[in-house]
Amino acid sequence: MSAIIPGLSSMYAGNAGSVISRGVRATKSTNFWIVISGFFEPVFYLLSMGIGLGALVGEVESSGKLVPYAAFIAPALLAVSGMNGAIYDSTMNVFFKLNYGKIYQTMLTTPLGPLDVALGEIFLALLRGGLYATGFLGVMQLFGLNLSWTAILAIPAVIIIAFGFASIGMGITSYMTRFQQLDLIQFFLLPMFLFSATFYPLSVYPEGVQVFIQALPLWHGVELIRALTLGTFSAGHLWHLLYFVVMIVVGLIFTSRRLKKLFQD
Amino acid sequence: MNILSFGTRAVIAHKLRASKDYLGTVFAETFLSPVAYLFALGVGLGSLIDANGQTINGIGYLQFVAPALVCSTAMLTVAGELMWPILGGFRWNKIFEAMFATPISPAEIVRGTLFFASIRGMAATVVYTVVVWAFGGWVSFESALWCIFFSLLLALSFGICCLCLSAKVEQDSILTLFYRFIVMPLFLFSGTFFSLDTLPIYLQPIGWLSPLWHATQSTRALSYWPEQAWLAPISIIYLLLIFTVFYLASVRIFTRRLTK
Amino acid sequence: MPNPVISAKSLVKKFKDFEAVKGIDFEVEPGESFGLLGPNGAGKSTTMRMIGAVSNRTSGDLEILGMDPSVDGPKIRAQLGVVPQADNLDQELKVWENLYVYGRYFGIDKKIVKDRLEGLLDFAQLKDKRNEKIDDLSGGMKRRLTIARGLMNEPKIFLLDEPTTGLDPQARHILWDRLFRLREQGTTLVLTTHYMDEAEQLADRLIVVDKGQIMAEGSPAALIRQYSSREVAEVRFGSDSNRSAADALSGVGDRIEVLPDRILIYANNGEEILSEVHRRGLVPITSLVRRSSLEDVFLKLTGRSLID
Repeated sequence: MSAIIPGLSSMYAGNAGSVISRGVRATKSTNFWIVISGFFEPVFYLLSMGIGLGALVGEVESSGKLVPYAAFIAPALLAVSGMNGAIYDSTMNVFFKLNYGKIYQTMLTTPLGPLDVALGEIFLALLRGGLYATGFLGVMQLFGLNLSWTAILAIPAVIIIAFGFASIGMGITSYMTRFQQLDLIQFFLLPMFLFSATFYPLSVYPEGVQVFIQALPLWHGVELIRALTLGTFSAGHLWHLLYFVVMIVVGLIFTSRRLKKLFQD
Repeated sequence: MNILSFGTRAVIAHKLRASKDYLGTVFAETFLSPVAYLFALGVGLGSLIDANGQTINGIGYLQFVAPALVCSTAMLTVAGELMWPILGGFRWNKIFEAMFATPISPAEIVRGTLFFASIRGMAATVVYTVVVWAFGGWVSFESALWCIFFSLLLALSFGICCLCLSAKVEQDSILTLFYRFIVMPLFLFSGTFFSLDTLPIYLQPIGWLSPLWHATQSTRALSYWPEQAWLAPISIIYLLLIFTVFYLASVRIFTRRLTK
Repeated sequence: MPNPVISAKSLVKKFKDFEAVKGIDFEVEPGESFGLLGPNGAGKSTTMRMIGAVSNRTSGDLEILGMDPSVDGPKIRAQLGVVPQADNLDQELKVWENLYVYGRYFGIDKKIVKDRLEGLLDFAQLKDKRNEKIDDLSGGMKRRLTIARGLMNEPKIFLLDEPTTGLDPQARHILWDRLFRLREQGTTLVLTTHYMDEAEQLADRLIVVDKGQIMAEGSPAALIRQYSSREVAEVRFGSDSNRSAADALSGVGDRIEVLPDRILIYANNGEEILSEVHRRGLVPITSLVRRSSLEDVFLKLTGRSLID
């Protein structure tokens, strides 16, 4: 691995576990209800959109299969919650720790390296994302929105999606110096949330717009999870997975280099 | 009592000056977000609904959803401006303490902060209204004016609720919970994206209590369904009542917290 | 002669086009208490960050415990205790958890960490505050906790960046007492300060830095002997009259410094100077005689006050 990232030994002490245990402890001490409440947001969206809009929209076609509207948007909301959770943890949360809490500064005066910090924080984000995904999938099951046994694979899929977003998000956040700049992230996320075949099939768009949206990560996440919960998954969906693997690797390299530059230069 | 007294204006001026730095972000947000929403919901989702042969009480989906989008923007903008910044003003940067050390009174601080947030909310509302017009979402000019009028009432009444709560609490986690369990459900279940009567009967009271529903539904009634226009005066009184109660409470809380 | 634990030669740190540290040389012996004295912006904190192996030097040589910080950063940091200028305690954790979690960052065994933190809570006089939130501690308590935290890994070198800035006099004295104990136990201390009384209390030897350069080096007493007289008479005539009064006082004492608010007259015997002032028909609004301090050394070396 040293060949990929020069000077790995100065970046990684193999002790990301202590960063994770700090996060779990902090959650227990202060953020418990916040973490729990995060589960409800996508559920509210599902109830509102699924019940309310479902009556207006009727059935929707996905991968050649006609499905109820609620079953169509539920996997999209699951992918979005994976993205949002990861983004929240890797932007707002990281921003606060960078600029106000000075928590990373403290960590980096110990033998811990930037990669320990990045891996630890990202793992925490994934842990949370995984729990939310499991809960949400349970709600979907309750409403009869999982149309195939492959739905269970949506949990690891959400974690992979979250990993991709978290690893990039943390690096981007390190460039931000003021709270208002975090809104810029929302700018990017909002259209992605609205347009990535979340609420209606991509086919309503002209060709050019479709290609653009297919280049964005969330669309891949939505397609992957939707295929899993609707039971339309095939080998053709594997490239969505590949997209996220690349995103994760690039994100990790980018973020740990950034942290090193910020704190150890 | 002079509503726009010197102190109130000073507070507004202070907040405006402080927000100058991120004017660019605010403007982009104010402009991009309605375009994105209208495109996604009005055009994208609307096409599905229209293809399904559905209207809401004879109204196309874009026209139906437009007033809700405008009003909810007013609501969410003031909420963002009057939750964490208020708690922060007491706890983190102590800006209210600094204001109170001058001849400015707690009531003036409350009004100044509220009015500033409402100005921001209304700026967003007006931009949104224009974007809706570009998408062909208004049936008449009056309809757009009603929407702005109700957005203002909503901004003031819902804004003062947020301000009141945020002045009361010590922990920012309470605000996150309030946002997730009150503000978001209000946004999602106030007949915003679909008519309230689509919901099961036990969820409908959320709408009747919701300031957002009153603002949205009154605009719709006045624009599309004259037979329901009786709702408008009730909504106006309801929103003014909320405003009065929470304004008085806010002034008391500010006074108590600042003189503690 | 044991090997120095810190050795810097022509150490330079540049930020873009600004040179914060301009080629300084110093060594710190094991068990020594070494001070960096200088005003804000002198380059003290930058030097501390380089010693702490969290900032890479631009050029020159730096050895910490025989290792090069740009190569062996983690190994060096494992043996350092760090107390940053501003407390950066973890607000989301309780008092004891702050110590526990920090110990774990070093990869120290859980049981050992738990044992040590008891002793450290005691040392920081925070035993009865162990379950409090950080927000509820006073400034002095937070500072003591930060210091205790820095001792969690039983460091060979303890770095303190302005340990008592912003504390009230009583809290400072408690803290000095704690640091004095560490010194007695043989911990190597490196501290920066812009308070001369703190440097006099805590440092065996110090360097005076200004604008990234070393102006003088020695023990506090030696520096005072070398750069100042035994006593100082301070006289004030009011802001508008100090300058003209100083002209009338020329030739009195060894040396005269005119500051905006007062005149300092350096001499072996301050009382004699005051009599001479009165003999010349000048009546100061206030006057006092005191021993020379490092403040005077700094004034002599740079022509400026330490705290502006």
